[in-house]
Amino acid sequence: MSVPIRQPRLVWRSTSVLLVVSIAWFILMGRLVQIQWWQRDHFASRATRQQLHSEFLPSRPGDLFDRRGRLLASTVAVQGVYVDPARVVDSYRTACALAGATHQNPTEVQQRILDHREKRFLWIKRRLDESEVDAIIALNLPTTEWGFRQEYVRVYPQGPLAAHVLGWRDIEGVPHGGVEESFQSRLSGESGERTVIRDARGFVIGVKDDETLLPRHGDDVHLTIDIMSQWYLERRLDQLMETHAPVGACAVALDPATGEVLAMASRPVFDPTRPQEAPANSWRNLSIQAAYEPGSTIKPIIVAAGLDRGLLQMTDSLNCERGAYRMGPRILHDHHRYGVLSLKDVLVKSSNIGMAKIGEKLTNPGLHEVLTQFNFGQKTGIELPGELSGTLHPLEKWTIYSTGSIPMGQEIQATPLQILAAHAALANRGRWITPHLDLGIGGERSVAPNVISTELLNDSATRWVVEEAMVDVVRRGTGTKAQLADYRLFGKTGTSQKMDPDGRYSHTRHISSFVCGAPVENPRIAVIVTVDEPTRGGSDYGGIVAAPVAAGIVSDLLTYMQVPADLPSGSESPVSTAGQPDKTARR
Amino acid sequence: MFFRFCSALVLVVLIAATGISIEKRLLNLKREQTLQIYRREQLEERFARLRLRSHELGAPARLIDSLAISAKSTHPRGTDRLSRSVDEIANRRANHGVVR
Repeated sequence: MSVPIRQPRLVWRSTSVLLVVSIAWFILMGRLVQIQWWQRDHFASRATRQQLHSEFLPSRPGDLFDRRGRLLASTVAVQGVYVDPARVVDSYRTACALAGATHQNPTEVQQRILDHREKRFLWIKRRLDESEVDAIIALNLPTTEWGFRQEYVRVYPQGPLAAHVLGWRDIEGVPHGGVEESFQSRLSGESGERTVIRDARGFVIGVKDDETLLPRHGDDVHLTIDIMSQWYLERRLDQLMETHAPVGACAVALDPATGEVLAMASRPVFDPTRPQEAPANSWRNLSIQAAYEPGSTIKPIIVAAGLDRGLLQMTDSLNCERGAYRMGPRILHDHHRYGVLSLKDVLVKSSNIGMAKIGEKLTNPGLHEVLTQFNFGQKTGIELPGELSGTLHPLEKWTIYSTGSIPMGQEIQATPLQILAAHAALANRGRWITPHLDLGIGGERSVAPNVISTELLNDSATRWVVEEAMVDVVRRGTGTKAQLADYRLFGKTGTSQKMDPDGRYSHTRHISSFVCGAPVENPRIAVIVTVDEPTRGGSDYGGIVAAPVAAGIVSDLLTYMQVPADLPSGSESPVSTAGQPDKTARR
Repeated sequence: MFFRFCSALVLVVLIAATGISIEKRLLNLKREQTLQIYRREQLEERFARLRLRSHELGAPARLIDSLAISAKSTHPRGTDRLSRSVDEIANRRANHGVVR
C-alpha cells in the first residue's frame, strides 16, 4: 500500500490558512479581552447610556372645588415634543419635519437646534393639540432624536370667576397668587421617575421596575367659596364698575357664624386661563392687598367696645356742638350741625364729633386696645398670599389728634377683609373668627388649623349695636339706599378721603364702602363693598355708591340660600336700586 | 451510563424550560400590569376631561340665561322668591345687554 506524498504547495497553503485563521482568532480574542476586561467600564457605561432612559413622571396637581363640590380648577394632560440636539443627525431635515407638523418656522427651529447642540433636551413645542401629535407620529423620525413628554395644564372651568381667590399657574405649573399658591404643598404632590430600556433603534423594550418611582398626585382642596354666590357677587360688582367707573372695587361675603368666605372678588380682574392678556393693575386682590383708612365703618366697633367696657350706656346722649368742636389745637367738623344726639343717632347720622367724644371716654390706650383686639394692624390669617396687615401705629406714636381721628376711622389703615371680619364679630355676638377659605380635607368641614375663634365683646353690647343702631343706619340713616323689600339689614356706610401726593387729605378722591349683613336676629351673611375713586354716578358717598350694591349682594345670596324673609312683603322701604343718587344718603 | 446521562440532560432541559416559562409568565404579568397602569391613567385622564367639560357646561355664567328663561316659562308671574330673583336677573340682563 502506497502512502500519498503531500505536495509542498498544498502544505504551504494549508499552513497559511491555519495561520490566517489563528491570527484572526487571536485578534478576536484580543478584542474580546479589550472589551471585556481593559475597557469594560467604559463600554458598560456606554451601553447603559444607550439602553437606559430616564423618564420624568409629573404629578397631577389636585383639583379645587367649591363648598358644594363644583369644580373650580382641574388639570388635563397634554403632550409636548422635544428633541435631543446632540443626537440629531440632520438638523435641517428634522427641523423642517417638526416645524411643518407643529406650524412653526423651520429656519427658527433649526437655529434653535443648532444653538443647543451640546444640550440633551430642547422643547420644540409644548401643549400640542391632537392633530399636531398625530402629524408628528406620522413623520416617522428616528426615535433617538425626539420624543413626547407629557405635561399637565391647569384649566379653570368657571372662567374668570373667583380669579383672585384661585390664582393661576404658568406653563411650568408654578402657582401665582390665590389658593393655588397658598395650598401648593397640598395640591402639588410629588413627581416620579421611570427608567426604561431601549433597543438599538430607540424602541422601549422594558421598564426597570426597581428604579421606577411612581408620582404621587396632589390632594384635592375644597374651598368655602360657593360659586353661585360668587357669580351673584361678581355680577353686582360688574354693574358697579359700569355705573361708577371707579379705579378699582372689591367685595367679600362671609358667614359671620363660621368665618367661611362665601365669595370674594376684585376689579379689575384677569382670566386665569389667559394671564398674558391681563392688564397690569388686575393682579391685586383689593380685598386683602389694599389698605385704606376705613372711615365711618369703624364707628360701630368703637361704640360696641365703649358699651362693653361700661364707658358708654345705650341711653347716653352726646352734644355734637352744632357741627364744630375744638379738640386741643384742632377743630373737628360734622357734615351737619347736630345738637344733642343719642348714642344710637351718633352712629345713624355718623357724627364725627360724637365719635370724637366717645374717643375721649375710651382714651388713647383704650382705643388702641380695642383695635388690637379686633386684629387691626395684623393679618387676618386667611389662606391667601400677599395679605396686608394694614397700619395701626404703636400707642407711643399716638397724639391728642388720635383721640378724635381714630374713632372716625382716620390714622389707621385696614384691608376690606379686616373691616368685614370685625363687623362679622359684631354680628356674631362679639366672637371674632378668622376668615378662611379652607373647608377641610375632602370637604369634611373640619376646622382648619389656622382658624382662631376669640370672644372679644359681650353679647348685649354687640346685639344693641347691630340690632338697634346699625339697623337704623339702613332704616333712617346714611344707608337708606341699602333697604330691601324682604330682609332687614344692618349696615354702616364709610367714605374716606385718599391722600394727595403732598400728604394732605384729598377733597376729590374718595374710597366709598359699605359693610352690612342680614338677617338681623341670626346673621347668615356679612358683606363689604369697597369702591376706590368712583368717577361716575354723581356722588362718591359710601351710602350711594357701595350701599345699593352690597344690599343687592345680600338680597341675591339670601334668596339663593333660601333664607326666609324677615319682613312681610311690601311692608317697608322700596327695594334698593343700584346706582341711583339719593339726596338723603350721606356718609 | 447512557441512561444516567440522558436523565441528567432531560432534567437540565426541564429545569431550563420551566425557568423560561416562569420568566415568560413573569414578563407577561409585568406587561399586563404596565398595560393596566396605562389604562388606568388613560381612564383617569378621560374622567378628568369629561368632568371638566361637564363643569364647563354647567358653569353659572353659561347656565344662568337658560335657567332664567326656563324659570320665566315655568313661573310666568314669579310665584316664589327664587323665580322672582331669576326673573329680575333675566330682565336686568336684557336691559343692560350683559353678555358673558
